Amino acid sequence: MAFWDRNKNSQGLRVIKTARDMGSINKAAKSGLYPLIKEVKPSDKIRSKYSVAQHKLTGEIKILGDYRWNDLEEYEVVIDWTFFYPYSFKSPFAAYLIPKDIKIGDRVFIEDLIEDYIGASWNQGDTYRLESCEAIWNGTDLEIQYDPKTNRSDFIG
Amino acid sequence: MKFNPLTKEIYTDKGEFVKTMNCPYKMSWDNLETTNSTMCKCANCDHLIVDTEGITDDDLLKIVRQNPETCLKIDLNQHNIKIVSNGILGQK
Repeated sequence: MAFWDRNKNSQGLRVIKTARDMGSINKAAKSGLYPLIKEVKPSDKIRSKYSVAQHKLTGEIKILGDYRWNDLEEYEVVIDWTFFYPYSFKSPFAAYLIPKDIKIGDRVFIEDLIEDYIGASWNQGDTYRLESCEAIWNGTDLEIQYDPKTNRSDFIG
Repeated sequence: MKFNPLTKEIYTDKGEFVKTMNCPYKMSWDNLETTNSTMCKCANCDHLIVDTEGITDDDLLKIVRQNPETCLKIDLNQHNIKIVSNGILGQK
């Protein structure tokens, strides 16, 4: 089974765009693309942490995100380390914009994934979304070619 | 230095903006051509990629200002970085 190789670029593969609101979905449909509608479902595997500390005299706050950096002189923690889903999207649904001439078995590159897959993780427990991935069109849906090996701790760019 | 994995923005410890990371080729450090212990070269676009582990904020700013096309590598677990992953909360 062929998985998405993080090192492979999108050259040579058709790029599938994503529309994330009704206006852009309908605009794409009018232009001849087929909007493959998906729910935007946050995964509980994607998470980021924070803690809030408040200055004892002024009431100002600091937001902490890294266990290693905790200069809290004159501050007290008012919210202890808490994990949350760190992404927000303007619509609870989105659509992959499928070209009319796509064929069954075509491998494509999805630029903006709607589904949540882990793309990076940190040894402090935080995990981040994979932004892009290859997929294969099966006639009715895009089969995401996610490889867990894409879950790394480094970023390049 | 500070890094926000949600926005991919890099700042110095003093809060100076360095750059926003963006790689259209989704390159991985392991598969790049090594130039020396802190640099690699990208086969796709010929940009140098500098490993930020072990370099100072001043050096980082100097490198990016001299050549804004320079790409950087950041590991969430490296010692000289503070992760500010809660950008949506206004953390800097």
